[in-house]
Amino acid sequence: MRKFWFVAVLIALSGCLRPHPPVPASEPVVPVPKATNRCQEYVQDVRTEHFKYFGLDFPFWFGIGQLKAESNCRASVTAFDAGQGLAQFMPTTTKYVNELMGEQLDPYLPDQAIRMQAFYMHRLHKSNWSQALWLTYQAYNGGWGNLKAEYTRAGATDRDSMRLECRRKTILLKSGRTLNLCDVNYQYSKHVYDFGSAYATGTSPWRYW
Amino acid sequence: MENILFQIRRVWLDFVSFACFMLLLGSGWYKELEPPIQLVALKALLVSAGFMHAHIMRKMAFPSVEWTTKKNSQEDGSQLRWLVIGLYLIVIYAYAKGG
Repeated sequence: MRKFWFVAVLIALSGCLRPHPPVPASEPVVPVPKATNRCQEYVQDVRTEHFKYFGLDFPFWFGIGQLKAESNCRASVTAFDAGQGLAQFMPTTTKYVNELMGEQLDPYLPDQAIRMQAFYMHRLHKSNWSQALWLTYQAYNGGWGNLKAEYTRAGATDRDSMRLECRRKTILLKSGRTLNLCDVNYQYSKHVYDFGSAYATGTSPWRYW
Repeated sequence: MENILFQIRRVWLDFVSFACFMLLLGSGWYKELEPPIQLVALKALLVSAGFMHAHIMRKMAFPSVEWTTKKNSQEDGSQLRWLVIGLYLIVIYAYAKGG
């Protein structure tokens, strides 16, 4: 009887396996990009931390998209503007978030950076007047001040209209390249959406745009 | 049938908690809870499911384990005991990590 059930379970499990279609010889095998693999190892932590602050409905995959947009999922990187670690926290923001959380978290440690990311995003989202996530992600990148001013000038929570009213500065990098902070901020939400969508596991009632 | 009922009674706590949390999450009532509590409910569901899964696997795949060793006993079932413990740990961890 025991053997019967064992075999039955094995047959049932094998039914869940789908045979891979053979790859035609003419198609080259495309390796998975390293960056995708890097981000994959943080999926579970991002999911848990974002669920903890936002609830089980939250589209946590945008949190992964955010890490990819910020640091390409590299935990040890320091940017030219002093952004630290996976979530690219500025030193002053790290200090601020640690004070709020009552801890001394290190932005270079992935699990702690992800905790700080989720906490800070949740805090920022409380100031989001329209609850559309693109605004919160852009606030993470460049603060609420400029966004609120652009919203006031545009008269509507419309990304294209607000972009037209953007009057942020253009900075000159050491390499000679210019960086238009309006482009940086308004493309940030698009990058988070595009990168994050690759990790989506379903739908969410939260509105992104 | 008696054996199945006996096994269900052994895991009744996980069976009940699994059913309760499935109802909570499946019905949408979880939205009334604070997010940290929602996460705890999800984790509890996963651990209960993992435990029951491991228990069924163990009952089907392994012989019974003698957990107490009698004095002067020649038999040493420690390897099987560790295998069973490992099975439970791995399956519950796999379920818990998934959420």
